[in-house]
This record gives sequence, structure tokens and C-alpha cells, in this order.
Amino acid sequence: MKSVVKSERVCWIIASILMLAGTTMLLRTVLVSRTLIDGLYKKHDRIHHLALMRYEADGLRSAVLTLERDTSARPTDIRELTRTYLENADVTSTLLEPEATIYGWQVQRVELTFEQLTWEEVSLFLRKVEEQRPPWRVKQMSLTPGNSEGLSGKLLLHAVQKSEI
Amino acid sequence: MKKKKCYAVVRDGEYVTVSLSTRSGKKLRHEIIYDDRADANLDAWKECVCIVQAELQSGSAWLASALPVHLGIVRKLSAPFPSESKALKVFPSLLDIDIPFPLEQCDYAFLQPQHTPSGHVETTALAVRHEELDAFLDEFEKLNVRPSYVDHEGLVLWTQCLLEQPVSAAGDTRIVVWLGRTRTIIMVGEGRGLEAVHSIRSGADELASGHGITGWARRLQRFLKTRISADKNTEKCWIWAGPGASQADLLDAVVDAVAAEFSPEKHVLPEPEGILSRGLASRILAPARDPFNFLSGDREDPGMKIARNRRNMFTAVYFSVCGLLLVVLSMGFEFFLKKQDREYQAVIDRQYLDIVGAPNLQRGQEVLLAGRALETIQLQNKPFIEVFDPSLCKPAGAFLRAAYQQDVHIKKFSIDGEHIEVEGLMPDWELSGVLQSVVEAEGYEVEITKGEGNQSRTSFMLKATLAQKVPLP
Repeated sequence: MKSVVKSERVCWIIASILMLAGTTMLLRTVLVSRTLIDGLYKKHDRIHHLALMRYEADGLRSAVLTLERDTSARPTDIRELTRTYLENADVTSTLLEPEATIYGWQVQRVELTFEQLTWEEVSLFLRKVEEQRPPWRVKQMSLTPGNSEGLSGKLLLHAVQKSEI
Repeated sequence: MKKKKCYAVVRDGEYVTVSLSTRSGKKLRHEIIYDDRADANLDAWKECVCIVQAELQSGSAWLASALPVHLGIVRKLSAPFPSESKALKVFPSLLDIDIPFPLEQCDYAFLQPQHTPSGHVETTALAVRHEELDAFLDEFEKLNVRPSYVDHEGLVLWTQCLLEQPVSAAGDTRIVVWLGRTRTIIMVGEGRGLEAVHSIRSGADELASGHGITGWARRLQRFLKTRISADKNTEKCWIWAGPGASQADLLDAVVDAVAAEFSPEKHVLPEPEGILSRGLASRILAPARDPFNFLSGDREDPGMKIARNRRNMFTAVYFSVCGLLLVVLSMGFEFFLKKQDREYQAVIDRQYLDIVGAPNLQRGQEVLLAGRALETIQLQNKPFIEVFDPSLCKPAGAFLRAAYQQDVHIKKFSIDGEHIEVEGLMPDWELSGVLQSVVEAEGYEVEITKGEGNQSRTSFMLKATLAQKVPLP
């Protein structure tokens, strides 16, 4: 009978320890989980914001990838294009210092000054240079009427190209 | 494990009644297996004792008996304050004053205290002297059995009568007379409460022979007079039970004997001879009941101790499991949250790496740092994005064609990625609306101002800003 009483006492001691541990753990979990759940909500918001940013970054990078894939990576010589599409015109081209951009690429810049050209000639020339791969893009254009029917003006053209490493 | 069988041993002088009660669901089935003098039929008695001993040893049944009324003391005690815990402290002192021997020589107990309308706490005290109880148990030792429960006869009979014949009104006086073979027990109470118990050492055997019936009636009347009013108009419920109550002639005789002072009804409970056995079994086996037991402390039945110990062990194990479950659930929930946190962080790190191109070293600052990185990417990739922007030739061509058609002379025209600036002369200021709408159609916000001009033409200045850059496809 004594051993039965002893084992009962041992059982109650174990039960007390386990209940105490259980209650302590429960209280701890309640306190800790509140912080953890708050953190999860914040991280969820962060994931949402980063997903939008990543979408935008992917869009920006896809422009580079498109050029990487599709082009010879060097724009056609602007003097050659001028000679081809503005055959007898009075055009002066000035190559400007290239601008740095992302690693492995640079922006080629050229300034064209012309006189006595019609808008049709100017627009045809611009359409042709913008069709190149990689294309020349008009960054600035200023026009003034010339002495006779034609226009005088200045064009600033940009084109991206792979830099020589 | 709850036992579903109970043997009840009722001693009435030399007579012994052994009955077996079995619980099946909420129902109790009673069966008398021996009812005679112990030495009258030795073979049957030995067989009965063997059966009981075997059942007790296997632990499948209880053995219960009731302490005869003349051995015990029943007292109604009242403590003059409303606190139950305080009342329980003073009840032993009150009982000590009320009984004719020291309380230290007694085994005693108090039934569940009740609050009275006057704000007191009342209880029924049961007491028996140690030597009386030991002598009672020695009788069982001689029969080679040991009871697990020793209840009080008066209490058992009263509660069983209440069960079999519920009280009609709360304040009614109830008189229960148990006519045994060798003794009589009389109980008086109001409503459900037992007020007093008395025993007369004359029973059915003696009364049936015609001797002593007058003396018996006198003793009964004397007891009743001290407890209740003899007024015949007062509502009293008489209940007759016990082996004597099943003998119609005897019952008539005793009722007539009492009728001189009282006018008792002849209300007899069904199967009146087995009420004590039924009462004992009901108080032990019925799930809602709480049996009273004189056997406590050193006298407690080892089987009871083991059963209680098992119950306690089970409760301890139950609490251990609950505690363990709490630990596991708490740890599990925390682990789940941390795992979820790690997964979220992994997604953040991956997205950060995709945007910035470098691992995340400043946790919590990802959105800020990625935003800065995105601004850099936007700046660096601008030339590449502009490749896909609409050509400036389109708005320039649209404006110049409209100007030519409206005979507008352009003095100066300039356009870049976001602005258009034009100076010129128009034949009529009303044409400004046409020029404005042409530029607005190209997505610009236009501001056109009128200058001085000359007699035939109006000078103007147009400034336009790109309203919204076309987003990337």
C-alpha cells in the first residue's frame, strides 16, 4: 500500500510539473506569438511592396535584355545615314562625348545641324534613323524657318551601344 | 473502473439478509440471495459467503452494510452564522456538547450543510463510539467478509423512502416506521430533512405473537410526542416498511395500537422487506448519489483505498497529459509561426536579391533599400527605356502640319522628351484653340499666350509639358 501511495505522489509531482510547464509555455507562447504575428503581418506587407518593385525592376531590365538579344549592339554610323537619306543637304554632324550608363553599355551622342530642309525631309530622315537597330533617338529638336522655304535646325540624337572593354 | 455490483448485508438480530444489486445504465436490479438465520441453512449460507468473498476478491463488487440505529447517534446541529466554513469548524464542538460521551471516543461525520431562511447553517451529525463500530465489524469478521461501506440505517431508510415515495409538500411531516423481525426503527422528518431517529427493540416476530404490542405502541407514541404534535388535523405522512410491513394482519394490529394517539395511514412501500438493501445499494451504485461511510482512516477498506488511489492516479495522469499537451501545442504553435516567419523572410530575401542584385544584409530595411536601388536602376536604364518611348517626330509632325494648314508662321520650334516650345505668328487668335487641341491630343498639357504681333498677324507663345509618360508595355 505504501508503494501505491508513493507512486500516486510521484504521479502528482509529475502532473504538477507538466501542468506548470504547460501553463508557462502557454503564457510564453501567447506573449511571443503576438510579436511573431505582428512581424508576419509586416513581412507580408513588405513582400507585397517588394513584389511590385520587382515587377518594375524586371520591366526596366527587360528593355536592356531586348537590346542585348536583338541588336548588333553598335548603332549605324550617323554620317553614313546622313549621306544616304539627306544626300545633298547641308548637314553638319558633331559627335559628342559618350555618356556612361549600366555596365557594358554607353550612350552615343551626336548633334546634327542642318539648313534649308523641308519638314518632310527631316521627318523621313528621323524615321529612318529610328528604325535602325539599335536605334538613334531624337532627344532634342529645335527648328527655325530658313531664308527661303526650308527649315534650319539642330538635332540631338542618342543611341545606346556596347562599350568596348 | 466503476463497480456495477453491490452486496448489501442487513442484520436483524440473528437474521441475515444478503442481496445483490446490479446497475445497468441508470437502472438498478435487486435480488435477495440469502434471507434467514446464518445457522439455519449452513450449506446455503456457506455458498452465499463464498460467492460474496469471490466477488470481493476479484474487485468487481462492493459490500455494504448499515450500522443499526441503536448503535449510532443522529443529531441535528445548527450554527448561528451564515458562513459554511465557520459552521464546519464549530460543529464538532456542538456535537461534543450534545452527545453523552466524549467526541474523541467517536467516529463522526456531518452531512452536507444547508442554509436556513434565518441565515443559520444546519447539518445532520452522525456519530458512533469506536468500540461499538469495532464490535459491529467483528460480527462481519465472524462471517469472513469485510464491508467496504458502513452507512447509517436511519439515513439509508430515509433517503430510500424519499426516492420511492417523494414528498408532496416541502413542509409536510413524514413518519417512517421500519418493522424489522427483531426491532423497529422510527424516523421523523419535515419535507426532505431527517429530524430524529429512534429504535425499539421489539420487532415483527414478537408483535405477531401478540405479546408486547401495547408496550411497543407506548414507546413509539412517547417518541413521536417528543418530536411532533399529536394534533390529528396536522398533515402527516406515514410510511410503513420492513419485513413486518408485508404482514397485513400485523400491520393492522400495530396501526390500531398507535391509533389511540395518532391516526396513521397504512401506506406501505412496494416490496417493503427489501428497502434497507435497496437503499444501501442505491446510495453506492446510483451515479448521482454520495454514500456516507463510517469506515474511514485506519478502518477504510483496502479495496476502497486502491479504488481511490486509482482514481487519483487517473486524475494525475489526466493532468499530466493535459500539461504535456499544452507544452506540445504551445511549442508547435511557436514553431509554426517561426517557420512561417522564416519562409516569409526567404521570400523577402529572394525578392530583394532579384531587385538589388546583392544579398539582404539589413533585415527590416528591405523596402527602403530596394526603393533606392530601383531609383538607380530607373536612372541607369533610362536610355534603354527611351528606346521604346514614342518618337518625338510624331507630336512635332502633328503640330507642324496643323500650323502649315492654318497658315501659321513658326519663328522657333523646339521639342525634347517632355517639353514643346513654339513661338510664331497666326492670322487669327481663334486658331490658338486649333493648335492647342492638336498638341493636347499628343498627351501634352498646353499653355498658349498671346503676344503683340502686327496688324495682320497675332504673335503667340506655346508651352507644352508632357502630361504623363506612356508606361512600359
